[in-house]
Amino acid sequence: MFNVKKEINERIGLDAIVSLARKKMVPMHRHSAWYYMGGLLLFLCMIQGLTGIMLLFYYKPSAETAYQSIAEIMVNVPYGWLIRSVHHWASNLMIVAAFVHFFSTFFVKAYRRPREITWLTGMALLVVVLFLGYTGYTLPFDERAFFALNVGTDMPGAIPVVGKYMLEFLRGGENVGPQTLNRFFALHVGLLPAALLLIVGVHLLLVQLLGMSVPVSILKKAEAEKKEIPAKPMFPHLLWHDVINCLLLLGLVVTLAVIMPSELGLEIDYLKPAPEGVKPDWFFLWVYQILKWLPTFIAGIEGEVVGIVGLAIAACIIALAPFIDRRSQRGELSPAFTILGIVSLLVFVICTLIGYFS
Amino acid sequence: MKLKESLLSRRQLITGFITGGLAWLAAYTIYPVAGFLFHKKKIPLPRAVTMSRAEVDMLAPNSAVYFKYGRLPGVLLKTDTGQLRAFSAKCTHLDCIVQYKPDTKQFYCACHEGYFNDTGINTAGPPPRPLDVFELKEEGDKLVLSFQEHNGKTA
Ligand code: FES
Repeated sequence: MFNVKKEINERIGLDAIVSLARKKMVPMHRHSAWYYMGGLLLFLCMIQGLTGIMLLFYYKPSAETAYQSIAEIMVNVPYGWLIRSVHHWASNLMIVAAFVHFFSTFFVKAYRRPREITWLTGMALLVVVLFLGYTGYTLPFDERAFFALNVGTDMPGAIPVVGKYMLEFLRGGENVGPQTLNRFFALHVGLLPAALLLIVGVHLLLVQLLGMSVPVSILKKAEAEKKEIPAKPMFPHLLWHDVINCLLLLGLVVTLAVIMPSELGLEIDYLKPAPEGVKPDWFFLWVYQILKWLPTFIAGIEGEVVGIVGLAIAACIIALAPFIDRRSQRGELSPAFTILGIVSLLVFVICTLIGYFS
Repeated sequence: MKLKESLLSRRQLITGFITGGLAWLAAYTIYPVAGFLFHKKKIPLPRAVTMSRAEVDMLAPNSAVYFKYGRLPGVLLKTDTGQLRAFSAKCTHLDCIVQYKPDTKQFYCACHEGYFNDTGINTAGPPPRPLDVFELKEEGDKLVLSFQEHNGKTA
């Protein structure tokens, strides 16, 4: 009889892949819970891909039609409000999960040798996810979107030399106008998802090749006690854990979507002044808050420029942590970088909270 | 009466719960997703469209013009003798738009070589039935064209 599995196996050696997956062990220790974050992120990516494509069935990406088509989705298309709200909430949770994944990886110093490239791809993914979130907010082309577009595209304008060109490139002109929407649409459904897929592919491949990283403290303890670190097979044990996590997460996303459906603001009015207390999306609030605190001029340079350049340098230091953090590289504890992580986390959380409540 | 053995093993019970739960979850996911994807906007056809006398008079004998009837394309034919006839311009085969050939007095569909005569009857090629016919009425100096959708034949 014709055996599909055998035929495929003969051609592409499926068995090798399966046995590789079976061999994969996941170390179990008190920081193991953080390993699940990646799986959750992947699941959120899938939700976003599917609901995003669904929304494209009805969304009309042009300045004249975008707002109306979203209204149509929210009111007339069956369950349109649900699909859009799921997309909205999954995106927010994705950003939360991405930050948790980022900070937890940083704290356990999983970026150390040989996982430097995995870390760098992860940083790139964080950036892509943030930009996906930002560009997504602008697509309904309502009032909120208008101010987000204005302020957001203004920021790169503060960068010396190239800033002006970046600003005009993003806006498609000197000012935010109908043409800007098409650019952001292209970024949100074209460039950024393609980049995401590609980098996620590399990221996952590296995770598979290199296995899970074990924190230095756990390694040291096991060494001292001359004990082996217990491990569980990825397949099927931890896969089931992942499935359960994903189901719970799906429940959370849908619950949030039902209780707090996403909104649609007022229609865009190019002449309307910015409303009082206009703020960016929560995941950029910390940047907003820091920039707000800076004086107009610092040593003769515009405060905003100093702020943006400063933040960029800080981001670079964190991104290059595996190359700067020599102690971790040697397999030693590295309290300096733990402190750097704690400070960054505190700045992030506190500035976000202040930005939110002020 | 108490049975000595359970009719259901613990394993069966748990499997049942899990499968049931998953089926329930699948249904709850698929139902809204399908509803979303299969939504179609219903645009009702207009009750009638009108053409002015002048427009109709401009039309030469043995020629035809297209007109819009909501989402349907229509074609108005003026015969040699000045008689007016109106049809749906959609070929009854696979919905291409037909064109009038004055030399042979036929409607011709280029998609798969379908032919209809000047009363809309299918005469050659794949089309399975005549062109749908519009009702014509003259009201003052207006020509009123109307169309009944019959049993879902016309999309
Ligand atoms: S569509 Fe007209 S002949 Fe096929």
